[in-house]
Amino acid sequence: MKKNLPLFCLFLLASAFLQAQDAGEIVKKALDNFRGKSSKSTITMKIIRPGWSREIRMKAWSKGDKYSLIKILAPARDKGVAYLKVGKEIWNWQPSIERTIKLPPSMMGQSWMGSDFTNDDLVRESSEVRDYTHRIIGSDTLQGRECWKIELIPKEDAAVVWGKIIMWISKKDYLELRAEFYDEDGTLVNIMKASDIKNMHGRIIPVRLEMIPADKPGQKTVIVYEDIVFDIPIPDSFFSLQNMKKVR
Amino acid sequence: MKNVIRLLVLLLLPFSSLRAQDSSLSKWSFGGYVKDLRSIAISSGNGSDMVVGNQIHNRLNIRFEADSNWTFALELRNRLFYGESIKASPDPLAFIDYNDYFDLSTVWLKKPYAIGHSVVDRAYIDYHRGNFEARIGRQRINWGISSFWNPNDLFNAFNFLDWDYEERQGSDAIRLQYYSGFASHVELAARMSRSLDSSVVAALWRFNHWNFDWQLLAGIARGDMALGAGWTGYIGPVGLNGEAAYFHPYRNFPDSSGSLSLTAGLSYLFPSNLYINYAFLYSSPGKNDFTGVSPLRFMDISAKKLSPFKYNMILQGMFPATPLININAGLLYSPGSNAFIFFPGITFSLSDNMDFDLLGQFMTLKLNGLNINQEIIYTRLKWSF
Repeated sequence: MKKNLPLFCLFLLASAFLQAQDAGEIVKKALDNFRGKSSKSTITMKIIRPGWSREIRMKAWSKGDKYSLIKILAPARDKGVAYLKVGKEIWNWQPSIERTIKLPPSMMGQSWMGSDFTNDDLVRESSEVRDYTHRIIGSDTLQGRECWKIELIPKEDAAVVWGKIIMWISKKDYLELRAEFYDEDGTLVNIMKASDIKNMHGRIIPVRLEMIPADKPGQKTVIVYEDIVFDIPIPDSFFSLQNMKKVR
Repeated sequence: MKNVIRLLVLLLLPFSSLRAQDSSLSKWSFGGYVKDLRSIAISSGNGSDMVVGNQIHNRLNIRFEADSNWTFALELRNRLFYGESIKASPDPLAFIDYNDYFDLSTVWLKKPYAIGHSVVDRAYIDYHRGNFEARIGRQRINWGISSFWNPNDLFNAFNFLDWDYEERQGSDAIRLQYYSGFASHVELAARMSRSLDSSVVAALWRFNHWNFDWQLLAGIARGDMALGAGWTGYIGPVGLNGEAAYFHPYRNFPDSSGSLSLTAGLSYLFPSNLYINYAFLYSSPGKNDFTGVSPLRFMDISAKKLSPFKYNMILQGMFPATPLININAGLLYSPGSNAFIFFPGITFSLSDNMDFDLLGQFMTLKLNGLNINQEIIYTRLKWSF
């Protein structure tokens, strides 16, 4: 047995490595499933607080990590306002004053229009694949679907805000149905719940996302995809300052 | 003119019902707002005086996108002024009525206690094909980059204290634009005018390099040759922006002296969403000649003369206390005239389409041994549709 110990250790290491890769693959598949190579969507976002709520409707286009464009449809006050992201740069179009304003890249990590989502949450950078190590920690059943429970721990040098993320990803169709975001002290900060699974132009996805801050009762933000189509051809030139003003 | 406006309103009102369809790709779009603005102005110097002002303000924005190339836009504002501020002013229309080359305004009510005024401040045809765009008619040509002062805004310089009219007056102009990249374009614009000395003809080149947006411009503006440059971008979390423009009368060029408008600013967005903005302005024609007779909000400014003071600096903070409440406060200081302007404000979102603002503009300065104080408090209720 002693003789075989190194071999056994090697086997253990290898299986741990394989499993880590698997978990990473699963997360990547789930994120890719929701993002696609490109997408075009119409979204309603409802900010809910104890005593009041506000609703924002918008149209969004994205291509990979690099490009996204958002046009506000409602409320009336903000209709026509647009946001363009190309790489790390972000611009904002204010139609009432006919001006393009360059926005700070740091706003990507901050609240999106007063909601519980950050800009990064909406763009869903590949960071959750790249900047974390992944491990399957169990199984669970959510909304009648068998799920992997996967733990994401940030790599040492990764510049990320979370200390830990736990994701529930369905085994059959790679849907991210729930995620818990923990800070560096291990305290639960946000819960993301995905539901209302629908077929959107041939792709099965949850069209309702809720972001619920753990320590603020009565508070959440609900995003509903009224329509979303993936992997449509969008040329890079679509994501321009000219089109930010024009696109409808 | 009166009849033209009436006709336009009658013609366009029925289209408001089209909005009910709410198809985002409807050819017609219709929007605007109704605002109720009230002010209390207290000025002191020669005796204290308190004047209450009232204004009901409606804006209509109408667009017709005929196809992917042609767009027609018409925007007008209808305002009813009433109360003491109208009675107290010797010539209230001086602050109310304005036009460009064409007369597109009308005074539909003129009483000692009330004035009704309508003006079309946008009326243009836009044609665009590929990377090219042409726009003719009354339009806003906004070349400004900075938050408070815009030396590059040759066509329609913005007075940041005139907070209730962010759309600004339009210029009757022709504008050609060519987009050469995702964040770069060249444009040529000419404002119609009865004489060369009052017209503006200029070209602008905007481009993106080192993650900054840059612009260069050259042209003639109201009797001057103008050269300008602007920049905006971020180094780490710190925002840097600025604009400069040099003006020199083109008649008697060697015998005249030029003037310089230069502004530069820094901004920082804290993780708490507190946004801090600092800027200074050097305005070489500034003579510290502000008399304090009219509110600073109505001060006539241009890219060449953006402030009555030569040296100006502003520090402003903005903070979304909750998604419903935005708090901001700014302080302007001009060392030459020892002028301070403090402008705090708070905006409440009452519903998806209703906002309430409460803000103040408090000014104190000392000129030639004379103390001038102006204190104005505004309330505004705004319903957008």
